[in-house]
Amino acid sequence: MKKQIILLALVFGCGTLWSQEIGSLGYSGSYVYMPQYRMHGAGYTISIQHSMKPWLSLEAGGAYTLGSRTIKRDETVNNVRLLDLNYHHAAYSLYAAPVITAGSGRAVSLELYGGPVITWQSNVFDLNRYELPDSPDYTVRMTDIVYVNRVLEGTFFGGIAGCRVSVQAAEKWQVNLGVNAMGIIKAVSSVNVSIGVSYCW
Amino acid sequence: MKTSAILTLLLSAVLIASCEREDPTAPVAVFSTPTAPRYMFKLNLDASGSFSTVEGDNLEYRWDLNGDHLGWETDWNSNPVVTVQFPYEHNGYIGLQVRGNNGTLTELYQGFYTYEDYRIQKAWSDLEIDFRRIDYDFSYPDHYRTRVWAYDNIQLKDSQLWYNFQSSEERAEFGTLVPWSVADTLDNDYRLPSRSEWQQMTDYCGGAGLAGFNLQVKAEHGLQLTCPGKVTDGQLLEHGETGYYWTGDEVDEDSAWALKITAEGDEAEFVILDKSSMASVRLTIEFLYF
Repeated sequence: MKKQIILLALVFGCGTLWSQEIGSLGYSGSYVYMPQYRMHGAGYTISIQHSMKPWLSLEAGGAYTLGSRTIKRDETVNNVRLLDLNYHHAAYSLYAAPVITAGSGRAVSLELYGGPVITWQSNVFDLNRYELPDSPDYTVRMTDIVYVNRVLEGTFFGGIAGCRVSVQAAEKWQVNLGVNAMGIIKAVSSVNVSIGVSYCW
Repeated sequence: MKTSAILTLLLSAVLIASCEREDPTAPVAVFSTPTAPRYMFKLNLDASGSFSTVEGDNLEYRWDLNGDHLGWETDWNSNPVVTVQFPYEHNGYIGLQVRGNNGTLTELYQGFYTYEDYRIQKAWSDLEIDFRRIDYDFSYPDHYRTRVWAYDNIQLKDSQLWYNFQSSEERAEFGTLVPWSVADTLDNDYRLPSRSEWQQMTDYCGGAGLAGFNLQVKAEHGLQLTCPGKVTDGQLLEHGETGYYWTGDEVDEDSAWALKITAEGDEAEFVILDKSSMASVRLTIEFLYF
């Protein structure tokens, strides 16, 4: 349900900004790194900008990211075979940010932005996965593999700050290269490197 | 304006990059029982095989002894071994939670089966007062073994040579206390169990640390030993507190080994008694099938 609400908010936000006189619509794909858990992943972002002044815009966007990490252990301690640890992350995020543009109207421009983020995250952290040693006949188990995990799921708040370099590729099209950091309170933060295109009107 | 925005960006990036890195992990929970579980017998649940993958982590343990997943019958304790009376007549689950310093938990439930193959029947012997016997059957890869034990303390008719209790109820419960020379020659087929045979029985009953309790448990599959005490120099001693059961093994001409149990203790131990002392008797016999 939360995903649907976020999607609706995104559509309404985009529609509102689309109706403005000067603006742009961007799409970018990103490589995501979550330093706290050292997860890697990928995602995409859709954003829309409304220009208020040549050097100032308002941007709203939505992002979806996926990340994971596996630590192979494959060692035996006290007759217990430690298998591996796995980390999984998925997030839908919405942000709004003022954008300051340097070099507006030129072939290459630099944008700086920062603002609040609301995100719905689902994280599963394997705390352990191990195989128990053989047991006597009078002991029975559903499975010899014990799987211990921690699930961190819910809606969290944070902030985003980033910059992007935009290169004018055609009359109304720009190619963007960007980097941003998304800090999320009590959940998983990330650093993103992105490449994308935007359509300006 | 631009400078402050750049600083904000850099600060945010530094904050995120400096997030404490962690590889969340939890303790490895393992537990077992050193001996096979038997209904109402005391049993050690041993979680000492559990460990943490974090160096210096001190583990704590708590148990769901009735396996109902509704609560924990013990508090958190740093001792990985807990002694319980096995609650299941046939089978059931027991749960363990292990907690590390950082509060991470690992939970493990295991099922346990009891396997009892025994029969109780009348023992046909040379004695004037009959006793019941319990036959324990064991199967091995190449043979079957039936260990037969007297299910009652041996009773003898009144005589100056041994000690009989006054009431019939006491005689039925405690049997007759006899000197070793009498105990060793009671029957042609049934004999005094040797020390090693008593040792096998104590192993069957959870080992020396718990057999003293388990040998007394009022469960049908147990020997249900009692604590009549012993007679030394004509005096009945330790009645109701201790049970001494002769073994067939002599120490020397004047003394022999006996198994000692106490009403309040869990342990069973072998002690040396003067052969003239009077102690309780359980007889045994063994059959092998190939």
